[in-house]
Amino acid sequence: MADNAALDIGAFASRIQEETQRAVQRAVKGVGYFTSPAPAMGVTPKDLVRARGPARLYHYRPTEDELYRVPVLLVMATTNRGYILDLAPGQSFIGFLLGRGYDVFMLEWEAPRPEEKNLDLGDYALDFVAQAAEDVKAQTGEADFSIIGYCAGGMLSVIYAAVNPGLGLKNLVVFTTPVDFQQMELFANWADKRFFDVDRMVDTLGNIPPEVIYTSFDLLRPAARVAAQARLWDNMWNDEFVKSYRMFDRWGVDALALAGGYFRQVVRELFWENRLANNTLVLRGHRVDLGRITMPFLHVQAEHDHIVPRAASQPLIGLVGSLEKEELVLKGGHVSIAAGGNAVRRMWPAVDRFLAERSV
Amino acid sequence: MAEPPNLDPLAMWRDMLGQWERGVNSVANQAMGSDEFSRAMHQMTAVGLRLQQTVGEVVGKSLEALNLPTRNDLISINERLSRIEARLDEIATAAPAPKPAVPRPPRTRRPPSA
Repeated sequence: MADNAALDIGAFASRIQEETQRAVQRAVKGVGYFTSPAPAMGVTPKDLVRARGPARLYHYRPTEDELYRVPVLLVMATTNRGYILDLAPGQSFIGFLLGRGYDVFMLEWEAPRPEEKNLDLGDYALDFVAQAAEDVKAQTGEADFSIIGYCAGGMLSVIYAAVNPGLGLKNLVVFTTPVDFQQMELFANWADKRFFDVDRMVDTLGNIPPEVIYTSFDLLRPAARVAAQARLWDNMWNDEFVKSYRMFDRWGVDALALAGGYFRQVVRELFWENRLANNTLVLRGHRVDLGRITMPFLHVQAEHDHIVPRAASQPLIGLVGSLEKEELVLKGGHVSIAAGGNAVRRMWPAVDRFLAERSV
Repeated sequence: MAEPPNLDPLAMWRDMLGQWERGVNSVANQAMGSDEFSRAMHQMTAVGLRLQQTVGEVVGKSLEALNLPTRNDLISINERLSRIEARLDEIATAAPAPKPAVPRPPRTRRPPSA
Protein backbone atom coordinates (compact mmCIF):
# COMPACT_ATOMS: atom_id res chain seq x y z
CA MET A 1 0.00 0.00 0.00
CA ALA A 2 2.79 2.35 1.05
CA ASP A 3 4.73 1.23 -2.06
CA ASN A 4 1.74 2.12 -4.30
CA ALA A 5 1.47 5.55 -2.73
CA ALA A 6 5.21 6.12 -3.28
CA LEU A 7 4.80 4.99 -6.91
CA ASP A 8 1.88 7.33 -7.46
CA ILE A 9 3.76 10.26 -5.97
CA GLY A 10 6.77 9.38 -8.19
CA ALA A 11 4.55 9.18 -11.29
CA PHE A 12 2.84 12.44 -10.36
CA ALA A 13 6.19 14.21 -9.90
CA SER A 14 7.44 12.95 -13.25
CA ARG A 15 4.18 14.10 -14.89
CA ILE A 16 4.62 17.57 -13.39
CA GLN A 17 8.20 17.67 -14.66
CA GLU A 18 7.08 16.61 -18.17
CA GLU A 19 4.32 19.22 -18.26
CA THR A 20 6.69 21.93 -17.05
CA GLN A 21 9.11 21.09 -19.88
CA ARG A 22 6.24 21.14 -22.38
CA ALA A 23 5.03 24.51 -21.06
CA VAL A 24 8.50 25.98 -21.67
CA GLN A 25 8.64 24.42 -25.14
CA ARG A 26 5.14 25.73 -25.94
CA ALA A 27 6.29 29.27 -25.17
CA VAL A 28 9.51 28.96 -27.18
CA LYS A 29 7.98 27.15 -30.16
CA GLY A 30 4.85 29.31 -30.06
CA VAL A 31 7.03 32.30 -30.96
CA GLY A 32 8.53 30.26 -33.83
CA TYR A 33 5.03 29.32 -34.99
CA PHE A 34 3.99 32.93 -35.48
CA THR A 35 7.28 34.03 -37.05
CA SER A 36 7.94 31.17 -39.50
CA PRO A 37 6.28 30.51 -42.85
CA ALA A 38 3.96 27.53 -43.36
CA PRO A 39 5.69 24.38 -44.66
CA ALA A 40 6.05 24.10 -48.43
CA MET A 41 3.45 21.85 -50.05
CA GLY A 42 2.86 20.45 -53.52
CA VAL A 43 6.58 20.30 -54.26
CA THR A 44 6.81 17.00 -56.17
CA PRO A 45 8.42 17.94 -59.51
CA LYS A 46 5.88 18.31 -62.31
CA ASP A 47 5.38 19.89 -65.72
CA LEU A 48 2.36 21.88 -66.83
CA VAL A 49 0.79 20.16 -69.84
CA ARG A 50 -2.13 22.49 -70.46
CA ALA A 51 -3.73 25.54 -68.83
CA ARG A 52 -7.18 26.33 -70.12
CA GLY A 53 -9.81 28.38 -68.31
CA PRO A 54 -9.70 27.25 -64.66
CA ALA A 55 -8.26 23.83 -65.59
CA ARG A 56 -4.59 22.93 -65.07
CA LEU A 57 -3.22 19.57 -66.20
CA TYR A 58 0.13 18.58 -64.66
CA HIS A 59 2.38 15.64 -65.47
CA TYR A 60 4.55 14.44 -62.57
CA ARG A 61 8.12 13.35 -63.23
CA PRO A 62 8.59 9.62 -62.69
CA THR A 63 10.81 8.40 -59.87
CA GLU A 64 11.02 4.74 -60.95
CA ASP A 65 12.99 3.12 -63.78
CA GLU A 66 10.01 1.13 -65.04
CA LEU A 67 6.37 2.30 -65.23
CA TYR A 68 3.03 0.57 -65.51
CA ARG A 69 1.72 0.79 -69.04
CA VAL A 70 -1.57 2.50 -68.09
CA PRO A 71 -1.18 6.12 -66.91
CA VAL A 72 -3.23 7.56 -64.04
CA LEU A 73 -5.18 10.83 -64.19
CA LEU A 74 -6.12 12.33 -60.81
CA VAL A 75 -9.14 14.63 -60.92
CA MET A 76 -9.24 17.06 -58.01
CA ALA A 77 -12.32 18.52 -56.32
CA THR A 78 -13.44 21.89 -57.68
CA THR A 79 -13.61 23.51 -54.24
CA ASN A 80 -10.01 23.02 -53.07
CA ARG A 81 -6.40 22.99 -54.18
CA GLY A 82 -4.74 19.80 -55.40
CA TYR A 83 -1.81 19.93 -53.00
CA ILE A 84 -3.82 17.98 -50.41
CA LEU A 85 -2.70 14.98 -52.48
CA ASP A 86 0.93 16.15 -52.35
CA LEU A 87 1.44 17.56 -48.86
CA ALA A 88 5.04 16.63 -48.05
CA PRO A 89 7.48 13.77 -48.69
CA GLY A 90 6.02 10.69 -46.99
CA GLN A 91 2.58 12.36 -46.88
CA SER A 92 2.04 12.61 -50.61
CA PHE A 93 -0.43 10.38 -52.46
CA ILE A 94 1.24 11.47 -55.67
CA GLY A 95 4.69 10.57 -54.30
CA PHE A 96 3.27 7.19 -53.26
CA LEU A 97 1.86 6.49 -56.75
CA LEU A 98 5.12 7.56 -58.40
CA GLY A 99 7.05 5.28 -56.04
CA ARG A 100 4.81 2.36 -57.00
CA GLY A 101 5.59 2.91 -60.68
CA TYR A 102 2.58 4.80 -62.02
CA ASP A 103 2.80 7.56 -64.61
CA VAL A 104 0.80 10.27 -62.83
CA PHE A 105 -1.13 13.27 -64.15
CA MET A 106 -3.34 15.61 -62.15
CA LEU A 107 -6.18 17.81 -63.31
CA GLU A 108 -6.66 20.56 -60.78
CA TRP A 109 -8.39 23.92 -60.73
CA GLU A 110 -7.80 27.61 -60.37
CA ALA A 111 -10.55 29.99 -59.30
CA PRO A 112 -12.71 30.91 -62.30
CA ARG A 113 -12.30 34.50 -63.48
CA PRO A 114 -15.29 36.88 -63.42
CA GLU A 115 -15.89 36.36 -67.14
CA GLU A 116 -15.92 32.56 -66.60
CA LYS A 117 -18.98 32.78 -64.34
CA ASN A 118 -21.14 30.88 -66.82
CA LEU A 119 -19.02 27.70 -66.83
CA ASP A 120 -21.25 24.81 -65.84
CA LEU A 121 -21.12 21.11 -65.01
CA GLY A 122 -20.97 20.23 -68.69
CA ASP A 123 -17.89 22.43 -69.17
CA TYR A 124 -16.11 20.84 -66.22
CA ALA A 125 -17.00 17.16 -66.78
CA LEU A 126 -17.37 16.91 -70.54
CA ASP A 127 -14.86 19.53 -71.67
CA PHE A 128 -12.05 20.00 -69.13
CA VAL A 129 -11.94 16.36 -67.92
CA ALA A 130 -12.35 15.08 -71.48
CA GLN A 131 -9.57 17.36 -72.74
CA ALA A 132 -7.27 16.19 -69.92
CA ALA A 133 -8.00 12.55 -70.81
CA GLU A 134 -7.06 13.19 -74.45
CA ASP A 135 -3.87 14.98 -73.35
CA VAL A 136 -2.88 12.04 -71.13
CA LYS A 137 -3.29 9.67 -74.06
CA ALA A 138 -1.30 11.97 -76.35
CA GLN A 139 1.49 12.47 -73.80
CA THR A 140 1.93 8.78 -73.06
CA GLY A 141 1.10 7.29 -76.45
CA GLU A 142 -1.28 4.88 -74.70
CA ALA A 143 -4.85 4.30 -75.81
CA ASP A 144 -6.17 3.78 -72.30
CA PHE A 145 -5.80 5.33 -68.87
CA SER A 146 -7.16 5.19 -65.31
CA ILE A 147 -8.90 7.98 -63.41
CA ILE A 148 -8.82 8.62 -59.67
CA GLY A 149 -11.34 11.27 -58.59
CA TYR A 150 -11.59 12.94 -55.19
CA CYS A 151 -14.92 14.28 -53.85
CA ALA A 152 -16.45 16.57 -56.51
CA GLY A 153 -13.57 15.44 -58.75
CA GLY A 154 -15.02 11.95 -58.38
CA MET A 155 -18.44 13.30 -59.35
CA LEU A 156 -17.00 14.90 -62.50
CA SER A 157 -15.17 11.63 -63.25
CA VAL A 158 -18.27 9.45 -63.03
CA ILE A 159 -20.17 11.92 -65.24
CA TYR A 160 -17.33 11.82 -67.79
CA ALA A 161 -17.18 8.00 -67.61
CA ALA A 162 -20.95 7.63 -68.03
CA VAL A 163 -21.07 9.87 -71.11
CA ASN A 164 -17.83 8.59 -72.72
CA PRO A 165 -17.69 4.84 -72.14
CA GLY A 166 -15.63 4.08 -75.25
CA LEU A 167 -12.80 6.60 -75.04
CA GLY A 168 -10.16 4.50 -73.28
CA LEU A 169 -11.03 4.85 -69.60
CA LYS A 170 -9.76 1.47 -68.32
CA ASN A 171 -10.20 1.79 -64.55
CA LEU A 172 -12.17 4.23 -62.42
CA VAL A 173 -11.40 4.89 -58.75
CA VAL A 174 -13.33 7.52 -56.80
CA PHE A 175 -13.32 8.39 -53.15
CA THR A 176 -15.75 10.33 -50.95
CA THR A 177 -17.87 11.05 -54.01
CA PRO A 178 -21.40 12.42 -53.56
CA VAL A 179 -24.19 11.02 -55.70
CA ASP A 180 -27.39 11.23 -53.63
CA PHE A 181 -27.43 14.92 -52.76
CA GLN A 182 -30.60 14.71 -50.69
CA GLN A 183 -28.62 12.68 -48.18
CA MET A 184 -26.15 15.54 -47.64
CA GLU A 185 -28.48 16.65 -44.91
CA LEU A 186 -27.15 20.02 -43.76
CA PHE A 187 -26.13 21.19 -47.23
CA ALA A 188 -29.51 20.03 -48.57
CA ASN A 189 -31.28 21.98 -45.82
CA TRP A 190 -29.26 25.13 -46.53
CA ALA A 191 -30.06 24.76 -50.23
CA ASP A 192 -33.81 24.31 -49.52
CA LYS A 193 -35.59 25.82 -52.50
CA ARG A 194 -38.33 27.31 -50.30
CA PHE A 195 -35.75 29.70 -48.84
CA PHE A 196 -32.69 29.77 -51.12
CA ASP A 197 -32.85 32.09 -54.14
CA VAL A 198 -29.84 30.63 -55.96
CA ASP A 199 -30.50 32.70 -59.09
CA ARG A 200 -30.36 35.94 -57.13
CA MET A 201 -27.12 34.86 -55.48
CA VAL A 202 -25.43 33.86 -58.74
CA ASP A 203 -26.77 36.84 -60.67
CA THR A 204 -25.48 39.23 -57.99
CA LEU A 205 -22.12 37.62 -57.22
CA GLY A 206 -21.20 36.00 -60.55
CA ASN A 207 -18.81 33.42 -59.15
CA ILE A 208 -19.38 32.12 -55.61
CA PRO A 209 -16.56 33.53 -53.43
CA PRO A 210 -14.23 31.13 -51.61
CA GLU A 211 -15.36 32.56 -48.25
CA VAL A 212 -18.84 31.12 -48.86
CA ILE A 213 -17.37 27.69 -49.63
CA TYR A 214 -14.97 27.76 -46.70
CA THR A 215 -17.59 29.01 -44.23
CA SER A 216 -20.14 26.41 -45.30
CA PHE A 217 -17.60 23.61 -44.71
CA ASP A 218 -16.67 25.13 -41.35
CA LEU A 219 -20.32 25.43 -40.29
CA LEU A 220 -20.74 21.66 -40.53
CA ARG A 221 -18.60 21.38 -37.39
CA PRO A 222 -18.76 24.81 -35.78
CA ALA A 223 -16.74 23.85 -32.67
CA ALA A 224 -13.95 22.16 -34.62
CA ARG A 225 -11.85 25.26 -35.24
CA VAL A 226 -11.82 26.38 -31.58
CA ALA A 227 -11.07 22.83 -30.40
CA ALA A 228 -8.32 22.47 -33.03
CA GLN A 229 -6.64 25.66 -31.81
CA ALA A 230 -6.80 24.46 -28.21
CA ARG A 231 -5.19 21.17 -29.30
CA LEU A 232 -2.58 23.11 -31.24
CA TRP A 233 -1.63 24.97 -28.05
CA ASP A 234 -1.59 21.69 -26.12
CA ASN A 235 0.74 20.12 -28.72
CA MET A 236 2.85 23.16 -29.53
CA TRP A 237 5.91 21.32 -28.14
CA ASN A 238 5.41 18.55 -30.77
CA ASP A 239 7.02 19.60 -34.08
CA GLU A 240 5.31 16.87 -36.13
CA PHE A 241 1.87 17.77 -34.80
CA VAL A 242 2.43 21.48 -35.50
CA LYS A 243 3.69 20.83 -39.03
CA SER A 244 0.72 18.61 -39.79
CA TYR A 245 -1.72 21.15 -38.28
CA ARG A 246 -0.27 23.96 -40.38
CA MET A 247 -0.48 21.97 -43.61
CA PHE A 248 -4.09 20.88 -43.12
CA ASP A 249 -5.17 24.27 -41.76
CA ARG A 250 -3.65 26.13 -44.69
CA TRP A 251 -5.24 23.77 -47.18
CA GLY A 252 -8.63 24.03 -45.44
CA VAL A 253 -8.79 27.81 -45.70
CA ASP A 254 -7.35 27.83 -49.24
CA ALA A 255 -10.77 27.20 -50.80
CA LEU A 256 -11.54 28.08 -54.42
CA ALA A 257 -14.32 30.21 -55.79
CA LEU A 258 -16.90 28.24 -57.76
CA ALA A 259 -18.15 29.25 -61.19
CA GLY A 260 -21.65 30.67 -60.85
CA GLY A 261 -23.12 28.47 -63.59
CA TYR A 262 -21.64 25.34 -62.01
CA PHE A 263 -22.96 26.31 -58.56
CA ARG A 264 -26.44 27.09 -59.92
CA GLN A 265 -26.60 23.74 -61.70
CA VAL A 266 -25.38 21.79 -58.64
CA VAL A 267 -28.03 23.46 -56.46
CA ARG A 268 -30.93 23.22 -58.92
CA GLU A 269 -30.29 19.88 -60.58
CA LEU A 270 -28.39 17.92 -57.95
CA PHE A 271 -29.68 19.24 -54.61
CA TRP A 272 -33.23 20.12 -55.64
CA GLU A 273 -33.91 17.42 -58.20
CA ASN A 274 -31.29 14.79 -57.26
CA ARG A 275 -30.70 14.11 -60.95
CA LEU A 276 -27.36 12.29 -60.62
CA ALA A 277 -28.83 9.64 -58.32
CA ASN A 278 -31.96 9.40 -60.48
CA ASN A 279 -29.97 9.07 -63.73
CA THR A 280 -31.90 12.03 -65.16
CA LEU A 281 -29.08 14.58 -65.43
CA VAL A 282 -28.67 15.84 -69.01
CA LEU A 283 -25.49 17.72 -69.97
CA ARG A 284 -24.89 19.05 -73.48
CA GLY A 285 -27.62 16.78 -74.78
CA HIS A 286 -26.21 13.62 -73.14
CA ARG A 287 -28.15 11.85 -70.41
CA VAL A 288 -25.80 10.88 -67.58
CA ASP A 289 -26.75 7.25 -66.99
CA LEU A 290 -24.33 5.84 -64.40
CA GLY A 291 -25.31 2.34 -65.54
CA ARG A 292 -23.18 2.98 -68.65
CA ILE A 293 -20.03 2.88 -66.51
CA THR A 294 -18.71 -0.61 -67.19
CA MET A 295 -14.96 -0.49 -66.52
CA PRO A 296 -13.48 -1.88 -63.27
CA PHE A 297 -14.65 0.45 -60.52
CA LEU A 298 -13.47 1.11 -56.96
CA HIS A 299 -15.37 3.37 -54.60
CA VAL A 300 -13.72 4.32 -51.30
CA GLN A 301 -15.81 5.91 -48.56
CA ALA A 302 -14.76 7.37 -45.22
CA GLU A 303 -16.48 6.01 -42.14
CA HIS A 304 -16.67 9.42 -40.44
CA ASP A 305 -17.11 11.71 -43.45
CA HIS A 306 -18.97 14.82 -42.27
CA ILE A 307 -18.87 16.59 -45.65
CA VAL A 308 -20.10 13.76 -47.88
CA PRO A 309 -21.90 11.43 -45.44
CA ARG A 310 -21.85 7.75 -46.36
CA ALA A 311 -25.57 7.84 -47.15
CA ALA A 312 -24.81 10.38 -49.89
CA SER A 313 -22.04 8.36 -51.53
CA GLN A 314 -23.08 4.78 -50.82
CA PRO A 315 -25.69 4.48 -53.65
CA LEU A 316 -22.96 4.97 -56.27
CA ILE A 317 -21.76 1.37 -56.18
CA GLY A 318 -25.27 0.13 -57.00
CA LEU A 319 -25.76 2.64 -59.80
CA VAL A 320 -22.64 1.88 -61.86
CA GLY A 321 -22.99 -0.93 -64.35
CA SER A 322 -19.48 -2.41 -63.91
CA LEU A 323 -19.24 -6.15 -63.36
CA GLU A 324 -15.92 -5.70 -61.53
CA LYS A 325 -16.76 -3.24 -58.79
CA GLU A 326 -15.61 -2.89 -55.21
CA GLU A 327 -16.64 -0.69 -52.33
CA LEU A 328 -14.35 0.02 -49.40
CA VAL A 329 -15.30 1.80 -46.20
CA LEU A 330 -12.16 2.95 -44.41
CA LYS A 331 -11.63 4.58 -41.05
CA GLY A 332 -11.16 8.33 -41.27
CA GLY A 333 -12.89 11.50 -42.32
CA HIS A 334 -13.35 13.34 -45.61
CA VAL A 335 -9.81 14.71 -45.67
CA SER A 336 -7.90 12.19 -43.56
CA ILE A 337 -8.94 9.40 -45.92
CA ALA A 338 -6.91 11.12 -48.67
CA ALA A 339 -4.00 12.57 -46.69
CA GLY A 340 -2.53 11.82 -43.29
CA GLY A 341 -1.89 8.67 -41.30
CA ASN A 342 -5.14 6.89 -42.24
CA ALA A 343 -4.47 7.48 -45.91
CA VAL A 344 -0.89 6.21 -45.76
CA ARG A 345 -1.91 3.03 -43.94
CA ARG A 346 -5.24 2.31 -45.58
CA MET A 347 -6.41 4.18 -48.63
CA TRP A 348 -3.23 4.45 -50.69
CA PRO A 349 -2.34 0.71 -50.49
CA ALA A 350 -5.97 -0.16 -51.32
CA VAL A 351 -5.85 1.95 -54.49
CA ASP A 352 -2.49 0.42 -55.45
CA ARG A 353 -3.82 -3.12 -54.93
CA PHE A 354 -6.80 -2.33 -57.16
CA LEU A 355 -4.89 -0.58 -59.94
CA ALA A 356 -1.61 -2.53 -60.16
CA GLU A 357 -2.94 -5.68 -61.77
CA ARG A 358 -5.21 -3.62 -64.03
CA SER A 359 -2.48 -1.25 -65.25
CA VAL A 360 -0.39 -3.59 -67.40
CA MET B 1 -11.22 -5.00 -11.66
CA ALA B 2 -12.38 -1.43 -12.16
CA GLU B 3 -9.93 1.06 -13.68
CA PRO B 4 -8.58 3.52 -11.11
CA PRO B 5 -9.86 7.07 -11.73
CA ASN B 6 -7.49 9.16 -13.88
CA LEU B 7 -6.57 12.18 -11.79
CA ASP B 8 -4.27 13.76 -14.40
CA PRO B 9 -5.76 17.26 -14.78
CA LEU B 10 -4.49 17.68 -18.35
CA ALA B 11 -5.90 14.34 -19.44
CA MET B 12 -9.21 15.40 -17.88
CA TRP B 13 -9.02 18.72 -19.72
CA ARG B 14 -8.41 16.91 -23.05
CA ASP B 15 -11.39 14.63 -22.42
CA MET B 16 -13.55 17.62 -21.58
CA LEU B 17 -12.42 19.41 -24.75
CA GLY B 18 -13.43 16.39 -26.85
CA GLN B 19 -16.80 16.17 -25.10
CA TRP B 20 -17.41 19.91 -25.46
CA GLU B 21 -16.58 19.75 -29.19
CA ARG B 22 -18.90 16.79 -29.82
CA GLY B 23 -21.68 18.39 -27.75
CA VAL B 24 -21.52 21.80 -29.45
CA ASN B 25 -21.34 20.23 -32.91
CA SER B 26 -24.29 17.99 -32.20
CA VAL B 27 -26.49 20.79 -30.80
CA ALA B 28 -25.47 23.19 -33.59
CA ASN B 29 -26.10 20.55 -36.29
CA GLN B 30 -29.61 20.00 -34.91
CA ALA B 31 -30.30 23.74 -34.93
CA MET B 32 -28.82 24.20 -38.42
CA GLY B 33 -30.93 21.35 -39.76
CA SER B 34 -34.15 23.23 -39.01
CA ASP B 35 -36.33 25.22 -41.41
CA GLU B 36 -35.99 28.24 -39.13
CA PHE B 37 -32.22 28.29 -39.48
CA SER B 38 -32.35 27.92 -43.24
CA ARG B 39 -34.96 30.70 -43.53
CA ALA B 40 -32.99 33.05 -41.25
CA MET B 41 -29.70 32.32 -43.04
CA HIS B 42 -31.17 33.12 -46.44
CA GLN B 43 -32.95 36.23 -45.18
CA MET B 44 -29.60 37.54 -43.96
CA THR B 45 -27.94 36.53 -47.24
CA ALA B 46 -30.66 38.31 -49.21
CA VAL B 47 -30.12 41.51 -47.22
CA GLY B 48 -26.38 41.31 -47.90
CA LEU B 49 -26.93 40.68 -51.61
CA ARG B 50 -29.40 43.59 -51.90
CA LEU B 51 -26.89 45.85 -50.15
CA GLN B 52 -24.10 44.70 -52.43
CA GLN B 53 -26.28 45.29 -55.49
CA THR B 54 -27.27 48.79 -54.34
CA VAL B 55 -23.70 49.80 -53.47
CA GLY B 56 -22.54 48.40 -56.83
CA GLU B 57 -25.11 50.49 -58.69
CA VAL B 58 -24.25 53.68 -56.80
CA VAL B 59 -20.49 53.18 -57.27
CA GLY B 60 -21.04 52.31 -60.95
CA LYS B 61 -23.00 55.52 -61.55
CA SER B 62 -20.35 57.58 -59.73
CA LEU B 63 -17.55 56.07 -61.83
CA GLU B 64 -19.58 56.67 -64.98
CA ALA B 65 -20.04 60.33 -63.99
CA LEU B 66 -16.27 60.61 -63.53
CA ASN B 67 -15.73 58.99 -66.93
CA LEU B 68 -13.92 56.04 -65.32
CA PRO B 69 -14.40 52.36 -66.22
CA THR B 70 -16.68 50.34 -63.92
CA ARG B 71 -16.11 46.74 -62.82
CA ASN B 72 -18.56 45.63 -65.51
CA ASP B 73 -16.54 47.48 -68.15
CA LEU B 74 -13.40 45.64 -67.07
CA ILE B 75 -15.27 42.32 -67.08
CA SER B 76 -16.45 43.08 -70.64
CA ILE B 77 -12.86 43.64 -71.73
CA ASN B 78 -11.86 40.40 -69.98
CA GLU B 79 -14.67 38.59 -71.79
CA ARG B 80 -13.29 39.80 -75.11
CA LEU B 81 -9.81 38.64 -74.09
CA SER B 82 -11.29 35.29 -73.02
CA ARG B 83 -12.92 34.87 -76.41
CA ILE B 84 -9.51 35.44 -78.01
CA GLU B 85 -7.96 32.94 -75.58
CA ALA B 86 -10.72 30.45 -76.33
CA ARG B 87 -10.02 30.81 -80.05
CA LEU B 88 -6.30 30.21 -79.38
CA ASP B 89 -7.27 27.19 -77.24
CA GLU B 90 -9.27 25.78 -80.12
CA ILE B 91 -6.22 26.07 -82.33
CA ALA B 92 -4.03 24.50 -79.62
CA THR B 93 -6.59 21.73 -79.03
CA ALA B 94 -6.60 20.86 -82.71
CA ALA B 95 -2.86 20.19 -82.41
CA PRO B 96 -1.91 17.29 -80.11
CA ALA B 97 -0.44 18.13 -76.71
CA PRO B 98 3.34 18.44 -76.85
CA LYS B 99 5.27 15.25 -76.20
CA PRO B 100 7.30 15.20 -72.97
CA ALA B 101 10.73 16.76 -73.46
CA VAL B 102 12.57 14.14 -71.41
CA PRO B 103 12.43 10.45 -72.38
CA ARG B 104 10.17 8.41 -70.12
CA PRO B 105 11.07 5.04 -68.55
CA PRO B 106 9.74 1.92 -70.30
CA ARG B 107 6.10 1.06 -69.58
CA THR B 108 6.72 -2.60 -68.90
CA ARG B 109 6.21 -2.80 -65.15
CA ARG B 110 4.32 -5.80 -63.77
CA PRO B 111 2.53 -5.99 -60.40
CA PRO B 112 4.63 -7.60 -57.63
CA SER B 113 2.59 -10.83 -57.58
CA ALA B 114 2.70 -11.32 -61.37
